[in-house]
Amino acid sequence: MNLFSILRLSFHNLWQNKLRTLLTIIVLMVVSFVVVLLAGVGYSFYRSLNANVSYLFGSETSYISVGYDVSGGEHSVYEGVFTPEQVQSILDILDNDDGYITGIGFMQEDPYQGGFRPYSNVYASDENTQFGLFPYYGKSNPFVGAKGYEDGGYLAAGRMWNASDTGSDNCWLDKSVMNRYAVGDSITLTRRSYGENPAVVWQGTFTVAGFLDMHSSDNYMNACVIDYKQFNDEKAQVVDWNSNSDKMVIKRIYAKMVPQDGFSYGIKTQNYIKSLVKKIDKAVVPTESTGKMATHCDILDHMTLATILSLVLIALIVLISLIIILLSIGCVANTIKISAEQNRRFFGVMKAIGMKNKSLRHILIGQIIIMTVLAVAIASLAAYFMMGTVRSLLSSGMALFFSAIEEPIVICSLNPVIPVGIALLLIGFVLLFTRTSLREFSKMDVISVINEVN
Amino acid sequence: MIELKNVSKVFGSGESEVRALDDVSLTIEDGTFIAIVGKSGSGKSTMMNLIGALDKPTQGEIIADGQNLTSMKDDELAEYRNKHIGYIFQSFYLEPTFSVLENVAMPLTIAGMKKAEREELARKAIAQLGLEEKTDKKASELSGGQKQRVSIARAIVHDPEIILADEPTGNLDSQNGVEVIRLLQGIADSGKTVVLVTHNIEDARKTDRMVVLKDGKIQQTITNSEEDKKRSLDAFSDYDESGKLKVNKEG
Repeated sequence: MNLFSILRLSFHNLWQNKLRTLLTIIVLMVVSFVVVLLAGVGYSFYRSLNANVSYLFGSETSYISVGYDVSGGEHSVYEGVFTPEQVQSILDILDNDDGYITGIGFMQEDPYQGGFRPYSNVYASDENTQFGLFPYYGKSNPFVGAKGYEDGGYLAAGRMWNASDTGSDNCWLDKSVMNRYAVGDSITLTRRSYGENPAVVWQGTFTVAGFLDMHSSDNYMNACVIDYKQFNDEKAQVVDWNSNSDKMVIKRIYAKMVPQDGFSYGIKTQNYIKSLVKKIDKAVVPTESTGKMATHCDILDHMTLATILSLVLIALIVLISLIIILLSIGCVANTIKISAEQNRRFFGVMKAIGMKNKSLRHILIGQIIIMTVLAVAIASLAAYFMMGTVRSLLSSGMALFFSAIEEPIVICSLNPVIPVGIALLLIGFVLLFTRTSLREFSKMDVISVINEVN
Repeated sequence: MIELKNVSKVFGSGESEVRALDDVSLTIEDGTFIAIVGKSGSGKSTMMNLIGALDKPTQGEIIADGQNLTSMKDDELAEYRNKHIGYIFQSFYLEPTFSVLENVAMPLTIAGMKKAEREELARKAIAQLGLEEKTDKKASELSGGQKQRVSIARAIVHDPEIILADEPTGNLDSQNGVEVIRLLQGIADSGKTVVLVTHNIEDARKTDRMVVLKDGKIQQTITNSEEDKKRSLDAFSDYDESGKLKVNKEG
C-alpha cells in the first residue's frame, strides 16, 4: 500500500472514535506544551548565562591570568614582574595559536592603587595589532592593548589612549572624551615617551568601530573598538621598550578568542585557556612577585561554574521532560491498542483480501504519528501565543540571575528543532512500548475474525 | 486449476484433536462453477479457507496455477490473495463509512495502485453489477442485495482468477439470493473459477459441480446437468441418513 492510502486509513480509524482520539491528542498536547516551555526556559537560561558571562568579561575576551603562582593552583595568581624578553615570549606563545586567539592585550598594574613602580613601554604589534601598550607618565594608569581580529574590528580596551585633542592629558581616555566619538569617527592615538616633557613616540589615526563597556566607572573610559586593518605590522613583538626600568608588572593578559563551541565559554574554550595558561606559566616565569593578587576574577572560575550550572539545569529539564513523556506514553499506547481491537473486523477483512501484516502495522503507526504531530503543532503554537504570560511569571525570578539581557525568557517553540524533537521523541517512545503488541496484533488469525463476521 | 492433494487439516492435539479435513483430494478446473456443500462441521469452510490461501493444510499440498500455496510465507500468501482471489462474504463486510467506490477499490488500494487507475477499474466493476447510481453512496445506505453486489464488485475488481463465495445468499431474501447466484454464474461463464460454499442446495444445484463433504471427507461429487440447474425448488429436499443428498427420481 502507498503512504497516502495508509495515512487515509489511519485517519479513518481515528475518526471512528472521535472522543477517544481527541482525549489522546489533548494528553499529548499538554505533554508537548510543558516540554516546549521547559525547553524554552532551559534555552533562555543558557542564552542568558552566555550573555552575562560575555557582559562580565567583555565580549569574548578572556583573562589569562599569568603571574607568579605561589599557590600551585591556576586560579591563585599574583601579579608578575617580567622582562621585555619574557613579555616577548608570552606574545610568541599567544601569537602562535591556531587562529583561536584574535586579540592579545596586557594589563599592567591596578589603576586604583597608587604608588606603583613605573612600568615600561612595551609595544606589541603585528599585522593586526591595533595599538600597543602605551606608557604612562605621571600616574598609575593601566592600559590594555589588543591584537587584531578577523572581522574588521576587535576589542581594544583603550584606557590609555590619548585622543590628540585632549592636549597633554595622556592618561585615561575617560568617558567624557569617549562620548565625543561615534562609530565611524577617526580617533588619533598617541604614545608619548616617559618623563616630564613627553615627546610623541608614536601616533596613529584609526576609525572607531564600536564601543564596549568594560568597567562601570564614571571616571574611567571604556573600550573603544578600532578598525585593526589600519595596521600593517607583521607579528606581535616587543618593539619599543622605553622605560626607566627593565622590568614590567603585568597584571593580566587578555586574549580575545573565538569561542569554539556554542556556549561561548564552554568546556572547549575553558580547556584551551587552561592549556595556554599552562604553556605561558611553564615558558615564562616572572622574575618576582609583587605580592598582590589579581584583582579580577579568573574567568575560568566563572566559566566552570557557568558550565556546571548549565549542565545541571539541562539535566533537570531533560529528566522532568522524560518523566512527563513516559507518563503520557501509557495513555497513547493504550489508545492504539483499543483502536486496533475496535477495528479488528476491518483489519481482518483487509487481511483476507490481501493486506500484509506490515501494512496493518503501518496503519496503526500512522494513527500514532497523526495524533502526535497534530498535538505537538497545536501545543507549540499555544506556547508561542502564551509567551508573554509565561515570561511575566518567570522573568522576575530569572532577572535576579540574568540581568545582562532585557528579555531573559525566550519561548523557543518556533525553533523547529524543539517541536520536531519532541514529536520524534513521543513517537519513538510510543512505538517502543507498543512494538510487541502491534506485531502480535498484525498477525491476527484472519479466519477467526471472518468467522466472527459471518 | 486448483489441486488439493491429500490435504488434511487438524485443529488441536491429543484428545481435543479435530480433523476438519481428512485426506481430501480435489481438482477444480479453470472456469468451473463449483459448490462445496455439507452440514455444519463437515469441513466446507475449512476447505474454502485452504483454497483461498487463508490457511495452510496440516498435511498435503495445494497447487494453484502451478504455485504451491503450502510452501508460501504469510506475506506471499497475502500477495497471492490480493492478486488471484476474490472474496464474497455472507455478511458482505463492507466498510460502512466508505463509499461504494472506495469499498470496491479496496483490493486495488491494498495493491498500491494509483488512485486514478483504481477508481477507473472500480467504476467498471460497479457498472458490471449495475450499481452506477450508487457509486458515491456510503455503504451503510445500501440494501442487503445492493451490499452483496458491491461485495461481488469488490471481489472481481482486480480481475482474480478465483472467486470464493462463502454463503453469499445467507443474509439475503430469495429474490436477491437468486440474483446473486445468477451473477456468480455470469462470472463463471466469463472464464473465472467460482467456488461457492453453501448449505443451500438450491444454490448448489445451479453450479457445474457439487462436492459434498461429510466429517472432513468428500462424500460425493455430483455433476449438475443443465436440466438440474434449471430444476425447480421442489426437486431436492435434504440429505439422506448416510449424509448423501436426496435426489428425486428424475435426478
